[in-house]
Amino acid sequence: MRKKLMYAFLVSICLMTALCAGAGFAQGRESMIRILSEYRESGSIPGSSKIWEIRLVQISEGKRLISFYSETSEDPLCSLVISSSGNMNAVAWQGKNGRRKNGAEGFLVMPGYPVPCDLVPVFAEDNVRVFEEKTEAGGRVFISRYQVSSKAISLDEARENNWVRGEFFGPFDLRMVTVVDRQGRLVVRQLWPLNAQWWIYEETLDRQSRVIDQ
Amino acid sequence: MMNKRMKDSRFLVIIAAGFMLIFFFCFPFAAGAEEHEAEFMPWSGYWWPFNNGGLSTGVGYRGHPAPLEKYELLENGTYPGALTEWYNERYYDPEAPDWYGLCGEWAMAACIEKYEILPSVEDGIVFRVGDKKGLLTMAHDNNYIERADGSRPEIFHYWLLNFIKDKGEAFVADLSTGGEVWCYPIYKYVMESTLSGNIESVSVIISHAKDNVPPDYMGTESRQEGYTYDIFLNATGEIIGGEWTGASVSYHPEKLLYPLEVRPACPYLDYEEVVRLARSRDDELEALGQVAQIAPGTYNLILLDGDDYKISCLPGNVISMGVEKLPGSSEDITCVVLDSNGHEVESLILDHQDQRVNFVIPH
Repeated sequence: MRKKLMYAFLVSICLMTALCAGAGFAQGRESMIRILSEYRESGSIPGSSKIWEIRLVQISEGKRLISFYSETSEDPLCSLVISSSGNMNAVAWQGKNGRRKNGAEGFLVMPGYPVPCDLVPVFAEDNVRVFEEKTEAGGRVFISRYQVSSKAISLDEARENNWVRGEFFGPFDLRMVTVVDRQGRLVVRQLWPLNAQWWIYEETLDRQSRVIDQ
Repeated sequence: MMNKRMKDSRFLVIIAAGFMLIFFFCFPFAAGAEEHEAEFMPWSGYWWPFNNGGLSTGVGYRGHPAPLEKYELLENGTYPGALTEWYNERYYDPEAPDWYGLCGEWAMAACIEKYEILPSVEDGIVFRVGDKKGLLTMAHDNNYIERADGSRPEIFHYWLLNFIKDKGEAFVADLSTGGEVWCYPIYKYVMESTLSGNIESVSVIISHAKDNVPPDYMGTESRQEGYTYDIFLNATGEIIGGEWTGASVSYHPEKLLYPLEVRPACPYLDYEEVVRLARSRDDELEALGQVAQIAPGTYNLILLDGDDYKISCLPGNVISMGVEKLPGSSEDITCVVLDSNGHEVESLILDHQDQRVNFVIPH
């Protein structure tokens, strides 16, 4: 009897340890996506390509950290922290040299930044929304206004436009989110599988990026 | 019941308020003037046009060994090698348009490499200012760059304020309107503005380092450009847009660039080594003391300050000495040759730039 009790106690300790470890793993688990970005030729500067590693980690309940690494660097070039509370997704971007920027409702764009780190909200329905962003410099406030539209895209359409390669076989519920500025010029567009943790294709004026490894 | 005096004063207040409104909307008034400068003034440099391939051919510079060849000679003991081959493959193109070159790379290097660049000698190889600036330019050819559309005045305005005023940093701008790209590091601005309603009219003069200097030029040769634009404000004075005015409608900055991380594209060029080389100064004999005893032979020496050398000669020996004053070298150079008794044998003064003198002293 005593042996059985001891055995049950040991088993329960082992189970508890495994559960705790599992929970900890789920919270701190990191997933990695590799992105190939192809940069357009500009004047006499030849076009180039770069591979980025995007590491996603759940740092706490409702809080995700997304870090962007170049292939050769051990430190991230920038990172995003997304804090979810209800329907609000606060986004905090931090770059090298302590530079910071904040976004709300899952929207934060970095026009002209070389790293594919723009974050856009993916609406489940075809929809158009306007986001306003305030930035300060030299004691002045600059306001940028962006229009964000979301549209369902068929797999055939994605293939025809070369947004996904021929070997891509799903998921099939794809949405193209397009961001334009006040003058209607493209800022970024991203092709998202619905409910995915990251886009599979992205395009700005300077580059085209696609997931190469997930 | 209101008496006449009260009515009159109310009437006066209304007139005054009306006048103020008319004044506000019709007469612009100064919103302010400001002048800001980056903490480090970017250095002038050469843009190494592709049709010359000067970094490997020495064309437009000093011939062979060219800057990349000197680097190979120092690192590998021989040249030409993989580095020059890589450069020739990627950049050297005798058919390239005249304006194709490394102006953007030079401009980024000039912003980021914040130290004085002076000539030095390593292993007997003279690295002139042009060699060093050329190597630094090459080392910045694959940087991670933040870009912005400088053809929008509100964005140009933001970059002036954000980089120069707030951070004290220079940034790079393509100042050529049209198909050609001519990038320069902008490090200073003087800005005046007037406010009229919700439009702020800005007049700005920017200063940038020039790139059409000889490769060996030391320091910064500056040039100014003026631009005018209106920025549009909302009711609370926040900037929501803008447009160029006057001559700036057709002549204004295009792309704006700021390097985030330095990365040479060439696998045969080590950035840390290039920086070490660029920061080195003078020659190996400097550490030996006030008077350096040298044996007969050939020496490449750098004169950054007063240097004394002693050489033992035999009757019939000939001393041959070449002295060159490089562009950007501000002080006169005085050379005096004394015999063992301290009597002056020969002396000369170089008092203008790019001056070369050779003299031979029979002993």
